[in-house]
Amino acid sequence: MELKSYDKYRMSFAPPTTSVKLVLLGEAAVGKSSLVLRFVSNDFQENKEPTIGAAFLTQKCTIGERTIKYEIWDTAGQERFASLAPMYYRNAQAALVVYDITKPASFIKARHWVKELHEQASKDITIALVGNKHDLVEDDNDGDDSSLRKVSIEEGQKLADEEGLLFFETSAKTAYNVNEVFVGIGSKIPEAPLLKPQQPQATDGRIDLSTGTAPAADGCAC
Amino acid sequence: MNKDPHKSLFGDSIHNPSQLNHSLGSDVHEWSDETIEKVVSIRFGGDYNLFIRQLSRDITQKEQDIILLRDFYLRRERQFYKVCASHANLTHLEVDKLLDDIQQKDTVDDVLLDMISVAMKEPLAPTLKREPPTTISSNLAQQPDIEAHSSESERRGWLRGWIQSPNDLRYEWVRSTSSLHSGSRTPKGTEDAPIVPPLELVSMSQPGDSTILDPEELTNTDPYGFITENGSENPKRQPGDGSNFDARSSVSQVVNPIDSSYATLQEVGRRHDDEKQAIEARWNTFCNEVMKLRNERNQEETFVPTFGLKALELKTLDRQISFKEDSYLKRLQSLISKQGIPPGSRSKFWFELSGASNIRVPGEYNRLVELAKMHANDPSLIQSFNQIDLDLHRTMPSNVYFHNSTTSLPGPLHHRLKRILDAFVVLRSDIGYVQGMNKIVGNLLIADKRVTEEDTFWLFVSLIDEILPTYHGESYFSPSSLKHIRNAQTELAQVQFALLMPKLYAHLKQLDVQIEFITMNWWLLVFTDICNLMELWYRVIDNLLVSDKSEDFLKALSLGIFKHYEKKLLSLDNYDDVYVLMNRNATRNIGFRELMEITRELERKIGKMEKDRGKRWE
Repeated sequence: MELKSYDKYRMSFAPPTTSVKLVLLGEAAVGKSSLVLRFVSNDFQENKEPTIGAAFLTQKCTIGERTIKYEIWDTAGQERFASLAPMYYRNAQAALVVYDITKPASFIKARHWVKELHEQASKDITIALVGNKHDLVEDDNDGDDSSLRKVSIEEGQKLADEEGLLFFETSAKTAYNVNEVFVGIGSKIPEAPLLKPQQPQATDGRIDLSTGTAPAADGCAC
Repeated sequence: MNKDPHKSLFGDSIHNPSQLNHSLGSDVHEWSDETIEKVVSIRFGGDYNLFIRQLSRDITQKEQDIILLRDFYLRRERQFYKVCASHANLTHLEVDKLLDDIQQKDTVDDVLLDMISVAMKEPLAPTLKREPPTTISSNLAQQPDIEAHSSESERRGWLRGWIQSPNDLRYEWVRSTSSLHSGSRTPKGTEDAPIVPPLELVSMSQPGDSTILDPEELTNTDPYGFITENGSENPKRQPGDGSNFDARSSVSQVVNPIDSSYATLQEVGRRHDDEKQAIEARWNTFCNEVMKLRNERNQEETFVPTFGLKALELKTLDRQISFKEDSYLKRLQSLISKQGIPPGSRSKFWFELSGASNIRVPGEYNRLVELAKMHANDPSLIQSFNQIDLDLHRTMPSNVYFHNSTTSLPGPLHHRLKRILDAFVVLRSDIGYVQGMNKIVGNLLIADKRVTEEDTFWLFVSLIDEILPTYHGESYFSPSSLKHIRNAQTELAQVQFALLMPKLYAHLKQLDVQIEFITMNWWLLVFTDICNLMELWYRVIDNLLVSDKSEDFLKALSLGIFKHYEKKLLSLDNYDDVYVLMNRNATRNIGFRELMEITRELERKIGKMEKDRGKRWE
């Protein structure tokens, strides 16, 4: 509660806050919740309880001149719950489609999610393709057959290029590239997203729309 | 034991090659009619033709085995004559004559007794005493876990179990656990069981892990095994001994942290004891009455298999009563909503009320566990098995029974959880494993660690099959039920919520909160997540078991949680605060009794609404 009044105070001076609804999709146990936990609390848990239904979290993120408040819906990964996903990605402005770079099946599933989002979600949704668990292949040499890596960077990048997605390889465990994903998404979000009219704070804050488009921060850091 | 089913000797065509081995065992003729009915309904979906076919398949299999054996011994015999000829210079005739002199055993019993007496002379494994299994009861004595539920007739007289005070129960359990303790104390996996008695007898105890379950040995944990150190890990777990009921509510005016003089403490203790005694007395009166009536009735009626609450026959008993409010069912519901089931007898009540005691077939669980092992790579099951393995180490990672944080090794209940989930996947391959089951079974396992793994399994099965809502005959966790559960959320949010709590509904609507996003998670997890106080979740199950219509109860409970936070929610002006508040830790400071009473009230209203709606449709 105290924070809220502080927010209001701040808003009259600070750049406007844009609310962005973001949904995470991907196969079970690829690290969706861990990515969110890393982003929201800069923390990592080795054994995180599986998500059922969807978990809701928020986190603010400042990109250049503006502040984005992510309203994150972290969905369940098990195939059984796939039919619930539309509930959560409806009206989402951003999506993270996550796979595990050591599990080829999870990459196939990611492909499906991208397709479904393009067909069913809002037209202007910003999608980032995220290959997680980079920590498992960090020490690998190229061309090493014993590598745990089963999905190459090139494959990921290729899918991203074909479908017009942002692409990152991350590690929720080591925090590698995690913030970059959310910053990258934020930079791609249009300045005046479709906001729910009922959100009073958001409309209060959105006065100045003249800021230019932030520089595109696509591509991964590798 | 499992020969390739395709190589059936008499060309017996096996319809479904991927069908699991359903061999019935060799004691079918000794089964009671009930057991046969149960087996037919559980394994063969009630189809007696399939049952007969299976019997005949078993016979064919045995005949095949006999032919192979006969062949084996024929060759051996020939070999024997040759050996006799070459080593002792004995002719066929001489050998035959010598053999004929050995006394003939002409019944199977004689042969068995002979074999047993030979076996008796052999050195035995140190922990298991073995006696000739002339009677099954002598074996049971060494399997104390089974004792409690040994025979069908004993289970039918289940009320007896309630009335014996919890101390009696405890005595029974203590005996069973202590005798297990005296056995091997090495908490290894289950593989190293030295002697394997028949399936029916090992059914309940999984040697190995039962020895570890002694909460006293675990430091810094609450009775449910959650680490309480610093209170930071799980501040919401209540460290009470569970037998506390809601004595707190009346006691709270008395407790004063500053003035904690001896007299005050005594007063608190006395009040607590008084309340506890009063509750026990009410339970005892109730149970005595019901048992008396039942005993009278049982003499004149034959046993009809019924499940759960219906098996209580409370509704039938109620017909004899003119005052509705005094009905036995209402009294039981009221007892449970006010105090919950006394923790000492909770597991027994659960077992009966859920119908688990009806659907449990001795030995069946172990068979399923074995099948799960044999069919680990079965393409129709592998997805579920893989998901179970993924989720096992993610189940209650902060609980010492599931995860030892100092050694990073799986805790003792980890293996039980795996076996139960695996067995369920085999039993209900149409449902498979659904995330969230791990949490439910996990909670059931820590509810009462004296309850055997097998009983926990059946309790879980009956929760799914008998207690939780079903949709068009499909059980709660069936793939097709998901959309119905989702529809139920929409209906809950838009109809019942709007009608029963219009002010809060209007507020949430104005904030653009989607209520079904919140309740969906609760339902999919059967409230394990939101009711993360163990004692509260057990209360929820207590009440669920006696609810008139479980879907109404789940709806009422969902609304009840909102109702409890009404004031707080009305003060929020942002939808994400609502989601955060109603996510996970909502029930931290909830009064059990209060929540259950709100819920019961709402359940009544919802039931009435449904009825009225039904009338309007007519």
